[in-house]
Amino acid sequence: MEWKGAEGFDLGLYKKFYDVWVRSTSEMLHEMMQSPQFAEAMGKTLEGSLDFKKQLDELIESSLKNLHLPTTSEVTDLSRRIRALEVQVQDVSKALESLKDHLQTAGQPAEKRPSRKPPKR
Amino acid sequence: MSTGAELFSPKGMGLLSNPKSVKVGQTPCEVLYRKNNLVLKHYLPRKKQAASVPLLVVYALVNRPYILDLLPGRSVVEQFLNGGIDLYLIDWGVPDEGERDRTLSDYINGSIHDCLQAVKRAAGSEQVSLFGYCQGGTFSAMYTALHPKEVKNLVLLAAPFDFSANGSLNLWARKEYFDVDKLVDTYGNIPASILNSAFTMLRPIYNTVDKYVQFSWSLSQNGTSSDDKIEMFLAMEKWLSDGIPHPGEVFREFIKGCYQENLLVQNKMKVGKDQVNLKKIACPVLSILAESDHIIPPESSRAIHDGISSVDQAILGFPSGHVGLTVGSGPRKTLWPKVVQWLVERS
Repeated sequence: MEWKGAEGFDLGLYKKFYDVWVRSTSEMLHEMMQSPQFAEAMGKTLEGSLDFKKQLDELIESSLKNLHLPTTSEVTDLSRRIRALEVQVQDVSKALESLKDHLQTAGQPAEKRPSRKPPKR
Repeated sequence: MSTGAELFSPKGMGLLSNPKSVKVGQTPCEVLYRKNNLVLKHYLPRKKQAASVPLLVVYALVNRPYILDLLPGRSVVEQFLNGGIDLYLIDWGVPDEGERDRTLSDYINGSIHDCLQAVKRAAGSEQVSLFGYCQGGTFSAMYTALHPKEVKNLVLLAAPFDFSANGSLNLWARKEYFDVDKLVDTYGNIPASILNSAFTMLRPIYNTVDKYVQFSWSLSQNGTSSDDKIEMFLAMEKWLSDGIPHPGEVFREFIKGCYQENLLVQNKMKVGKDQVNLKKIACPVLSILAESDHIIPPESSRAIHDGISSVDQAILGFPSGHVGLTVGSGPRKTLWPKVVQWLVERS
């Protein structure tokens, strides 16, 4: 069933026109974005925004230091230390689990233990 | 034309008035293993196992993995479970500042290896099949090349390998245009907003105007239930706007080694001290390609098949986009049953 607008216009016709516009504009933009000039402009825009962010970060960092408040770099450093500790704790836990398994196996009666070849002399 | 009543049913109205209420990732699962932000999920089986080898899904570090389990009936996870596959998934979580220094080796030789060992123990299996989506596919292939004895089968979904292939991302990421060092040094972890801007610019008219117009238009047409269309549209919007930062150091390594130097297909890519040699991949390999993929050009995904030594290898192409492969109704009916069958026959 056709969808008619309030004044009786056939909106399907507008939709067809819209679809043609979308197709042609998308093709044009795709071609533009595949060009080296666009890639270069995009890279320069990003670099500009990164320069701005870096300056802003430095300003915020110095302001926080003057106010004796923790800075982003200090929090990042703490976060790294916590992560390193977490990794160490996990490694120790893993080693303990493995030791526990080993001790349990050693405590089992001989017939239940996994068979082992005698060491070569 | 739809009537007002059809357009604004209680469910549809409820969803439109509160888009965040749409529920995603609903398939029941248990947490098998957890390490910092990483969670290894085990999906509860739905039927008797048809494959004795478990399947581990390695997702990308970009975006959330629930795209693979978006809605009931639109879920790759469901497809595997209904096919009798014992399924596990790595959800990397949201990286924090402590994750910015983690390297490619930390993810591949560390996290993926740890998860695979946990799956082996839980399933009582000697080997595990890997399923990698996009960057997760590249990681899975790197892992398989470095630890070939651990992997029974390798399934790659729209995964990039040849970064010289013609594609906008490949062009924009070239070293003469993109200073990845400056980006990582400035931000640490790469904000989701920067990644999303790049993805939006791949199809600017569609992503900013057309998809909303097409959605509104489709609601006005007769056909499938408007509630389903609304739910699907909002679930996709939720996923698209739910991006996560990309950990910094691994982003630097991935962009430099893959996008800028294209080392992987030359067997020169380094993961820690190890060099990745794709020839060491000898297990059965299945690549699934989206023929209209605007993120990963299909030829980039095909390239792995020129470098591996697997005798049993296959490519399945499907006429859809990068994300459509996972949520589209076409792949659900014709693609995923073939993938499940391929896995079952080799497990």
